[in-house]
Amino acid sequence: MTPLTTLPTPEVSDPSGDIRITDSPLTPRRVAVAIQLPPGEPEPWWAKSVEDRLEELAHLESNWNGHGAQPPRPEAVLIGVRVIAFLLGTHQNWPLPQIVPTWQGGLQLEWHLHSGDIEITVDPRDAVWAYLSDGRNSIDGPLTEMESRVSDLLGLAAG
Amino acid sequence: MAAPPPVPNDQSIAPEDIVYRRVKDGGNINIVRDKYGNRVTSSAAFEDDDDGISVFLQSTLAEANLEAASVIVGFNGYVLAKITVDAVRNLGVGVVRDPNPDDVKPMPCNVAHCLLKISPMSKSERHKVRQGLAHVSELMG
Repeated sequence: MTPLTTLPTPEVSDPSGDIRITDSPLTPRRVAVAIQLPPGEPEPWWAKSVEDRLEELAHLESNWNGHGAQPPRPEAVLIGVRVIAFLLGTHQNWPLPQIVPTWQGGLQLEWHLHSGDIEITVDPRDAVWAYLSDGRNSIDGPLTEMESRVSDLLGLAAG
Repeated sequence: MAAPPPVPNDQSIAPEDIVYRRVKDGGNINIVRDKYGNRVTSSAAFEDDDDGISVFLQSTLAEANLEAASVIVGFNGYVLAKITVDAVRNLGVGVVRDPNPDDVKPMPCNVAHCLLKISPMSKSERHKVRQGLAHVSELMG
């Protein structure tokens, strides 16, 4: 990852200060995702893969889908990392999400598991929304109200 | 409460016709793995803008002597997802012709450009339609 010190602002950061997203206006665009940890605390097990994927998506250009899509916005990346940290925490064997961009600069986190499907949409202009399905029934709502159901599915998948 | 207006739907398009959607593949941008590990289209690939969801109609491509692959000529890292019109309509989504839109890159395949129309509905219902479209679509390549 490019050191944050080499990248100009703008920058968005989590209120707790433990996640920083730096969006470079350089060409090609670079977005650096940095998870700040107290001295001596190990990096979360999911951090490297998530950082790599988010930085890959950040390289997308405007109209990346051929239909007018915008690349992920730093605010969406920040929220996405917060959601992943919130859900996976220290659960070492829980499945990682598949992360895809949405056309208005947001992100979608997806888990397609034998225990069910989870899709979480992250749009900085809207509430983080979770869609759950077990193939027969589906339910959705703000992640704040769906957290335990999402965690149950992820825990089931981990065995 | 009044019923929502019917979704625009061009009945001159046969149910057995096929529509193709460009999907960004390079780096698995809009491709995910299902629970069996198969590559499938993400529902995010079927987000609609203010006009609808851009697709290309097989029968019109054929009339213009164009292959389906013509839709992604010059679009490096893209694949096509195909869906029958019947499957689209079964999700409550309409199909209308929209040839040669002026807001896209000029290409011969634009004669076959169509829009999938989702009727006004809640965020949750729209997402379910996108999931439905992804589910019934078949990735080519």
